[in-house]
Amino acid sequence: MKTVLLVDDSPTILMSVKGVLQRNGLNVETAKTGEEALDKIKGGVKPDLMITDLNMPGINGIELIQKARQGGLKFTPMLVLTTESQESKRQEARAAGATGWLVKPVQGDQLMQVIKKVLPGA
Amino acid sequence: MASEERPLPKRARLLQSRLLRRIGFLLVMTWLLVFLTQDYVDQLTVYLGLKTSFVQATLNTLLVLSVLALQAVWSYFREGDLTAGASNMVRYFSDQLKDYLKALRHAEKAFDERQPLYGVLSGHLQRVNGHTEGAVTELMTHLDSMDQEVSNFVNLVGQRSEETESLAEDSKQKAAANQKALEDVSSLIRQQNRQMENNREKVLAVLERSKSLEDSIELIKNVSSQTNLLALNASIEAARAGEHGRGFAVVADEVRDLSKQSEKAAEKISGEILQMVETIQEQFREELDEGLQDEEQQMLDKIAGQLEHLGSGYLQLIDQHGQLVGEMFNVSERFKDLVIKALSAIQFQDVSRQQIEQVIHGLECLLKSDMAMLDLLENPAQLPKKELHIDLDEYEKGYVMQDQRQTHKAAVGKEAEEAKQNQKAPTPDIELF
Repeated sequence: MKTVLLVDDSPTILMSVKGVLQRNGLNVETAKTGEEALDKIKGGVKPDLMITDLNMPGINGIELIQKARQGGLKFTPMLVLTTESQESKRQEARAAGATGWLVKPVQGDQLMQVIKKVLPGA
Repeated sequence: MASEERPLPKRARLLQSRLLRRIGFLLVMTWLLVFLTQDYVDQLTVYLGLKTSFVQATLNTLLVLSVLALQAVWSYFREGDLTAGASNMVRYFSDQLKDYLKALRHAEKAFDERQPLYGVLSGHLQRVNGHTEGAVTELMTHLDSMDQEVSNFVNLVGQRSEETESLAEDSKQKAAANQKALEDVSSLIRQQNRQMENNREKVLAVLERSKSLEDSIELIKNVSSQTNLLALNASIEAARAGEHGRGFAVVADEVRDLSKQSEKAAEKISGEILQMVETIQEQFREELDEGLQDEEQQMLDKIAGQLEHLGSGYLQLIDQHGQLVGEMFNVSERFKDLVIKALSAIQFQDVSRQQIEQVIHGLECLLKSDMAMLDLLENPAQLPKKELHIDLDEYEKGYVMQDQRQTHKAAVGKEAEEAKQNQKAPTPDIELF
């Protein structure tokens, strides 16, 4: 079973997206901050996919992607799930190593379509 | 005091009046010059070789002085007192200042009263966020539980279904085995019936042959009767022969006795054969009955038919059960899709939360501005704090979604700018790099 690391400071998003992913046969690890996510990665969690919010207290989504890329997830697909839609932010995320960009709210079937593209076999 | 002063001679008054008129004329000209040169300060600065601020301040001072002097001249001609206008002006500004101070006190009080309101509004919005988040979390928990219950139920039905299918398969095999056994029994009975039929025919043949023995016995009886008659004639002829025929008479008597015994033996054999035929007929009567055999065969066929019907009914039941389970799985899948849609839709709460947080930030900016205003009113001599002025452009930078920016631009009258931005190709909501 594929594992997804889901990072968002909103408990609603964590529950919502986790529910969607689990019902589609994915194992989900959650983190409320970028720091917690990095701790989990350091602690041995090796996700097949990471989905992160952009605006979070502490480390933001772009910094998290940069640090995660340096910290063992070099080839892991990483998606940004955010309310933000500014082109400049997208470019920042892309430069940091993000695989894709999704604007909240996103429908469950659309989310799964994207996940299946970046994570074959999911 | 003025009435006690000695009045000026007429000529002197005339000269004074003429002088004042000339001063007034000069002042008007000065004022006009200053007013007209306002637009040429830069050129004047270059021409005079002085600082712009100095030239500007000088011109402003000249302007003010010319106005004051003009007012003094006007006061002299109107009221005969050079200071009357200045006094009126001072009184006017004094009154204005009093009104301004009064208004300031009201403003100060109003600002003072507004401070807790910002806290109240901010608190309410935070509570709204908290309530929404709590309600959404509870809703999602219920949805999750419902989905879990349905999944458990479907798993249970699936498990029972597998067990039922196993049972059905077992029963199907047993039914087939029973049917096979019944067919074997039926075949055996048919074989036995055929054997019985053969036996019956053989027995009937034996009985027929037994009946044919009666003719032979009748022939024996007839021979015996003829022998008896012949022996009787021989006895009569022996009696006629007298002493010489005595031995012949003994033989004739013996022959008669033998003939009687033969007749008795034939009758006894006939009786025994009849009794044997009756016994055989009695013993085979039920077994040789063809109608009874047909009835047995029909009964067996009926049982076989009922078993087959039972088996097909059972298979139909299994098929319906399978269809029901399949439909339940379909319903469960549709329910799962609905739950996923509901879970996705709940993301609105995070969007609303971020919008409300930005409104709270705006209220905080207003509060800080009010505080700075109060501070300024209490200490007018100090420089105002930077929080006094709300920087809307800076506030706009805090937005985290396009919807907020659109609302902002519409509210501050920058729809044209927004429309220009919208002319660019819209960024997709989902993009893979």
